[in-house]
Amino acid sequence: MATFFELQEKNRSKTKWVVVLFVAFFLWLGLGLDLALHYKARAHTRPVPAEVYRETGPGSYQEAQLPPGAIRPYQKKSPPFRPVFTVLIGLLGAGLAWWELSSAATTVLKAVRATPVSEDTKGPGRVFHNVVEEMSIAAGMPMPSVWVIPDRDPNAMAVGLKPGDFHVAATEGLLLSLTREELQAVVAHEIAHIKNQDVRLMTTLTVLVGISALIAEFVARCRYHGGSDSSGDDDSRIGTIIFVIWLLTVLLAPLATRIMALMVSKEREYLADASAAQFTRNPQALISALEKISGAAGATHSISQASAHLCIASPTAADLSEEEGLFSTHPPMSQRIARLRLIGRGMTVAPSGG
Amino acid sequence: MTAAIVIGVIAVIAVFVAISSYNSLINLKEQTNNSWKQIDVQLKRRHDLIPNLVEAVRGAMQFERETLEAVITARNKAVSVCTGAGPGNVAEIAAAEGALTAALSRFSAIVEAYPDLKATGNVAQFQEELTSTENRVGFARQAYNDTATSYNVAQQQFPNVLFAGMAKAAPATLWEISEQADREVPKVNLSFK
Repeated sequence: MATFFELQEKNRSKTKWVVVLFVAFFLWLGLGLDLALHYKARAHTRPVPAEVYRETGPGSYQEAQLPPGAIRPYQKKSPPFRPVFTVLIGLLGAGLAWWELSSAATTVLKAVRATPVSEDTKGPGRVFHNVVEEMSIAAGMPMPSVWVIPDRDPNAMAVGLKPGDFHVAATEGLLLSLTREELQAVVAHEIAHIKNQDVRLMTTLTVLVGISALIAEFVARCRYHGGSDSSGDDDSRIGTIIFVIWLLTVLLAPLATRIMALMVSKEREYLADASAAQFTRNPQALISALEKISGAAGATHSISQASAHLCIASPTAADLSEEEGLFSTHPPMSQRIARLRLIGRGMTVAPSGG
Repeated sequence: MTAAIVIGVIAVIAVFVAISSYNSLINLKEQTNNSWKQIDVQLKRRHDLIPNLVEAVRGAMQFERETLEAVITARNKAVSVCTGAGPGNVAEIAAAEGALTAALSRFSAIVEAYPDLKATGNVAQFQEELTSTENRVGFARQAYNDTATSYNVAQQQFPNVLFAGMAKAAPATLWEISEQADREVPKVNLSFK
């Protein structure tokens, strides 16, 4: 078997681990807080001093005076563990991700002022439409709808979360500067993004990054009372330790989640490149297309950074440099081309089509 | 008692393995049939396109009557072979379609050789359609071969090999490209005018 199947497999399992890490990290955001509060509450479950009880009475001692989540002080039994925040943060994440995923893909296309290409267009649009149809056959995918973005910088993007709602868009610059075979390779890369469900994955990760930033913001604004505990027993100490670790991870979360999302994004780019080579059986065409695109070196102004992970090359000019940037969505061009060369050498199947 | 439990557990595992193995074979068989249908769709499209193509260039290509006739003959042969054919007739279809591919590529080479002819609006458009059609057939064939290969490999693997009979799985024939037809060098009639 050709090397690209192995490369794809390697890519897939790597991504899987980052996603698992992501989910575990997110669970910790809720669970850590719950555990900290639980131990704190256990430390507090001792009888209130008699004078306090006499002054305030059993009913009027309000929770507001206690750290959040603490149990009423006259309660004697150890409180049960209630993962309130785990569930809350989990629901918040799932809800926002669902909302984001169910919003129409066409909003992104409207934002870049893309115009649809119908089946009976003439000229370069016709070639583009044909190429998209050819590549969807090669990938065994339903035909996506085809769009052109009015921008002179060569770039292309894929949008779509479910069958019947797949879209492939290319800039005018791309259609003018590439040969038919190169265009085929770029379209294959975009179709691969859809087939590998990268659009769904990256949208979800982007939402999770947003949520972790939101939580960090919220926590940073809260003043935490009750760090100095007079009751120096074990439960209270464990609670404090967990809380400190939790606080640190929450404050670092926006950065960490962003880096993790970008790591996934880079792996998915390699995977889409490998799949494009599989569909076209012509890695050389993708190499020359990538060389042309990076040679254009300008920024694709009409595509915002938020949709960068859906493009063939990063729309930001700075990200086209040769260095491996921690905050770039795409691996450096030289790396992608080197990997494609490797695929080209290992390819045992004769090229067809093109 | 312990022995009975062990035997029971092994039996449950065996049943589970059998079911998943059977299902994966059925699944792959279905995928192979589907990708065969895709080839069929693309071949029909190609057969429908050719008469239009020939009409469009007939006037301008009086001097290449032979090439046009070859395309039409090959097309009609392919249509008759494809009618009512299934994955079982891969070899026949591949031969007929290979001959058509060869005739079409000769035709394309001739159009390339005469810039006057290429400049005619209709012809340039039809050439793009022809390129696309050829690519579609090629990619559909590639997708079919890939699926059929993984189906064939799965049939020979353990434990699938034990359930291949039950799933009525038989090796699918790959669509081989007939080398001879593809290698033929197109002859261009240079006695134009």
